[in-house]
Amino acid sequence: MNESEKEHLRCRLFLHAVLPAMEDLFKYSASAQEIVGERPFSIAFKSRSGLCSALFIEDGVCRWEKDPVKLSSHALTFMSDSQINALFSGEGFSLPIPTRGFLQPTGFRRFSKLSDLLQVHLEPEKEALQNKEFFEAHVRLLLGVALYGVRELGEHEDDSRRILAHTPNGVAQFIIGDESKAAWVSLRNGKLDAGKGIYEGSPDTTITFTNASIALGALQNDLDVMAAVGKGDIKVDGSVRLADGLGFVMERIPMYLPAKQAS
Amino acid sequence: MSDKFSKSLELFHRAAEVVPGGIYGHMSPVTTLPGRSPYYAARAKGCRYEDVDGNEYIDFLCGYGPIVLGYQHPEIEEAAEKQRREGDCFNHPTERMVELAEMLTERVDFADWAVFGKNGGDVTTWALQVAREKTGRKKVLKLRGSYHGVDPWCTPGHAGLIDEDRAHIHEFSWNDLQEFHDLVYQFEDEVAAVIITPFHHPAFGDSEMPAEGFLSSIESTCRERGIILILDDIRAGFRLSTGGSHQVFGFTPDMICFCKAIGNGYPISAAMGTNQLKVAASRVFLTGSYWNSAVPMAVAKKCIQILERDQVIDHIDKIGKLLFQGLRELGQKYNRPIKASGPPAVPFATFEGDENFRFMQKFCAGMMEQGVYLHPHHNWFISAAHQEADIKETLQKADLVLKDLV
Repeated sequence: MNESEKEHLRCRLFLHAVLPAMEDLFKYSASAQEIVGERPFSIAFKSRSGLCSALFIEDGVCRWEKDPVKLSSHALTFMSDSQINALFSGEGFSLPIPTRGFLQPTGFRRFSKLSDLLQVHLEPEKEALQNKEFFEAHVRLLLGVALYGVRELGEHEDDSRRILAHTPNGVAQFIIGDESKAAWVSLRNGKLDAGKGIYEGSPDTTITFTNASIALGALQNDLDVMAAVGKGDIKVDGSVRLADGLGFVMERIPMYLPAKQAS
Repeated sequence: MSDKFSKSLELFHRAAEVVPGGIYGHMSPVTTLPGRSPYYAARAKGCRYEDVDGNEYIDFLCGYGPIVLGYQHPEIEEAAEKQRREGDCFNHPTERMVELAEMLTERVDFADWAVFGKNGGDVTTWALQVAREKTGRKKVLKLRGSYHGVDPWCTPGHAGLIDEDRAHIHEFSWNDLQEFHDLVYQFEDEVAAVIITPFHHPAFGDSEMPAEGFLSSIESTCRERGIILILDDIRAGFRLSTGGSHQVFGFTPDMICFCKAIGNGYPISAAMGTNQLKVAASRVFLTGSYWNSAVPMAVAKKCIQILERDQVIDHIDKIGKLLFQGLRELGQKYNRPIKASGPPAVPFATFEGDENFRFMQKFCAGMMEQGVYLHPHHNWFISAAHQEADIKETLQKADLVLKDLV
């Protein structure tokens, strides 16, 4: 894979795996709601490569859309995937062109604050993680990023596609502790979908992390997963092959995203 | 986690501190029923074994295949002890090596020579090298989902691999002659070897017997194209025939690999081949610290003698059929149809419509509670030590478990 292809994959992960975490942030963070206030607000991110996604915020609810059809109030266009990556990672130079909403600069300032808040939740300081509620919210956000990341890599990365070609179809439900912290990913003939919460239907495999600490270790590739399963810290019920295949893809996410954001 | 396995779990917690994975490989609890099955064995005899918690099981996994005569078979142990008194690991091989090679070449019809290793993967990987040496070609065709060991070219794991490890390994599906031929034609004169199993026995899936003409057609194509046909008979070998499973399925490979049942649990593997490959084989470096150990070779000789003397192959086929029949009847009784797959001596049974194995996992967990070890995701094995009474007991327990589950 050349550098340009790698940057494109990173951009996919930022736009289609990290940005959707804003939806969860809005659910759990009063600060996020305060930043936006009561006026509806929306912002789209577009790369010259064609990648695009947007956030629509209204009545206290944030909705993420991939390839949005509806026009957002604000839009930023980037001349390359690398520039989007620089914006989200904070590394390198990024100079997006405001192509919509440039007469309402407060919108861009609002997004900037939201993005800082998201970063605090995705890349928290050690002290913040001492707070149990914050820690669990952090891990829940990471799970969402991970499963949406599996969707992107699973469809667009050669190694992931190769593994999933021999992984059985099905739905994997992931749960951290209890069903209030859950997300799922489905695989059907090479196509993936992901969602938050409990899957409406019968999953083919259920992966349950005993607690947020175990989940965090697994999501950050910093846990002996085999030992954790043996000890009962991670329970896998149902299709082991499906869990294994998706797990492989999940482990590849840090190759494209810095570790703190990757999981 | 069940209290029934508390010592196993306690040991595992200790292990997890000093062993990556706790237990790694095919014996990892990940592949069976974590928390609902034993993790560590203590002792065994016949067709039964005891875990570290003192739970006893009728064993249908046989150490994942090696135990073909039964645990602690007195004649096997006597042969081992007799050789042990003389010595096991020396600076040189012993006469046992020559005797065993002669014994095997007398029985495996096409083969003129034998080499020995410890594990199946030692000899499958070596066999590929022999094929490459002989043909001067690089490519290897293998069956999708088949297991040949843990070397990079074939490991079922994903970690630590690079693209180059498998650049010349190409897969085709079991019973799909079209896909096989497409690969052969695609790579024309680049294929060194085709490695196959006598029947398909993937993990997490039903076993599949060969369709008519599948194996013989592969053989014909290999002959036409100068491709070396390697039979991985590690799982089925010495359970279907003492002369190689190809004799049962009506084809002839150029090389064959054995392990598991050849030594009734003592570590030994073998690769055999035709005279046409002997010079190439002699050039491919093959060795390991323990590969010429005398005790497993003495045991293998005795094992083969007993297999033939006691007509073990007929016995395990008969016992396997009883198990299949009984399970099918129970499946019908409880309206959970059971699919029996593979040859009776190497049986597997799954429930129809249970593609994600959830019901199978519950069934096997229930059977373990009842004292019968059935793997939910891997084919089973029958040994000479299994008797009709053991099958009857197994089926009685299966009846109880299914009644409870349904």
